[in-house]
Amino acid sequence: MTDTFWSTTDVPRSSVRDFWLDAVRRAINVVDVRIEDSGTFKASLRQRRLGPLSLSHIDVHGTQVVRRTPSIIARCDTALFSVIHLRAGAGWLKHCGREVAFRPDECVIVDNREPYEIAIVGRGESLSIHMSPDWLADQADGVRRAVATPLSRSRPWAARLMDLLNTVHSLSPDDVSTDLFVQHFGTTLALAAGGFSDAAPPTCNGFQALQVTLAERASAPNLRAEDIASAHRISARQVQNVYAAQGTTFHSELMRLRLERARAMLRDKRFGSVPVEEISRRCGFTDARHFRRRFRQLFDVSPAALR
Amino acid sequence: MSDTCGVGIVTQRCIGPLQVSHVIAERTRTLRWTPATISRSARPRFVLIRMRAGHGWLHHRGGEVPVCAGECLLLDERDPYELAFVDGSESLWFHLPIDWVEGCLADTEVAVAVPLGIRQPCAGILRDVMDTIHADDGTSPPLFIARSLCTALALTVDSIEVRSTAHSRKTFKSLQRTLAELASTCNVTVAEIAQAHGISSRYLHAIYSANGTSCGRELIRVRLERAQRLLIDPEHRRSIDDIAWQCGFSDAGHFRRRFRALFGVSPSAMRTA
Repeated sequence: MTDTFWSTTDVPRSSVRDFWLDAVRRAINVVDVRIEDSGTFKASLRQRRLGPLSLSHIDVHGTQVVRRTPSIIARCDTALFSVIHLRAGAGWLKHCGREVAFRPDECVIVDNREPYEIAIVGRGESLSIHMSPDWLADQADGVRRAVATPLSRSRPWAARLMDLLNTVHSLSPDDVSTDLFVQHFGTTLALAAGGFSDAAPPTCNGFQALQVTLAERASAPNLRAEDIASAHRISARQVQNVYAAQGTTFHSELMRLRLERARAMLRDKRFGSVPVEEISRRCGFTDARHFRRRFRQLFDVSPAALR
Repeated sequence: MSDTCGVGIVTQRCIGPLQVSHVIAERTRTLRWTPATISRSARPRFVLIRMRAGHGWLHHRGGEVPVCAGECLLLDERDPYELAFVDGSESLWFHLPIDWVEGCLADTEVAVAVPLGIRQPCAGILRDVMDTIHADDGTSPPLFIARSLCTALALTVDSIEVRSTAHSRKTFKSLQRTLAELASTCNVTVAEIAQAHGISSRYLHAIYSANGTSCGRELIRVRLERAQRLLIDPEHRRSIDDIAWQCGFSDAGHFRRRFRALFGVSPSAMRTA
């Protein structure tokens, strides 16, 4: 929960570059750092672990170029995505065939499996969040397509993303639940980097459109195919046909969604004091015994044992 | 809203499971959600209101709370309410299905009819998310929008003052169990106990204070009880200073004072007794 902090302030001039390179490598990932004038260069890095994420605040006085080259990638292949928000100063990023100028009202996503070059010219203060590709893949599909594209504050959800970084940086770790921050960051990032997704909009495919409505309403008790049908102005029989064409049924999809939601709630530590009966009710089940049976069928474990 | 006379709903639209309304009242107006309205309502929901301008009063669940510009409020349509807007006001109303709110808040009772504002460090996130949803051009996926609202609400509610509800008493008991388990063997911190329950340290402190104690006090009690067990254990012939250190007291004088305050005797008297 505590922050880790590195600063070149008390480091002898001759070893500033080595110290700083080591700090960046330990805190973030393996790169090469070139410093223009190590006689005047000053930098600090503060990092906070936030569950599967880490938040870095970097303050650089002086010009530096950070490179992740193909040979470094070949040697050190721990994959990492970063959302970088330059709060003050100036610089640029070369990544994935693009060259992007850093502007204080923008943020950009970097994929360390592809080479990059980040330059800070004169002065730079940044906030960045680092995450594994696996964690990112669980949030949304479209985010990878936004790599090396500046997300400007004129996109409202990108503005929320930058505000969120600034807010969590300014608050004491005691004031924010890590789990909730991680969840909120995930949805905000998906919204900010969305729109780059080339996935078909849900309305283009009947099944996807019905699934979205089902996901919205799955926890409502006594939900019937008729309710989903009327929301789409089709008949219940048509709903059943769309599901049959996908090799499934309305009821098995509803059951799966409800059980997955119950599993997420049971795993969420905040819900630790909510009884299993209440969890099943909140997920749309009217009979807790029926819920337990189905849960065990799908996940091979009882709801109580999962906790 | 049953009494909408003089209250203008400027826009209203549905974004996935949310219904978003932009409401402007020109003069002083009172909105009443009465038992009769509830019996007519087919699908009661939660309402999350963000006051953008103006101020007013809310009567709900037996209490009266003032609401000011910049604050948010959660109402439960299953219970009657009366919301008065004084002079002119502008607000955003988000209607959320009950199952969505119960899926994001473990304890909804603690959040209803509590002004969410400057006292909650994350309330700014919730306000901005509500404004952004209201201004969204309709291209963002509705499910993500609804999730983002729910996580922002949960972040904000994680830091409200806890009232003694059935859930908060249960959470308190379960925190106490974790504390007793962890603190009886090692020197655990408040932050570690909070993390084990997925809540912020701030929320943990609020739960303890709602239950009439503090986590620090409970931690010291458990550590002193551990020291007492070590003192009277004939197998464990360590010095009192060592035992104090082992139980997380870096100052032996402080340990002796606290020990005497809890057990009424000094550590050495406890050992010889």
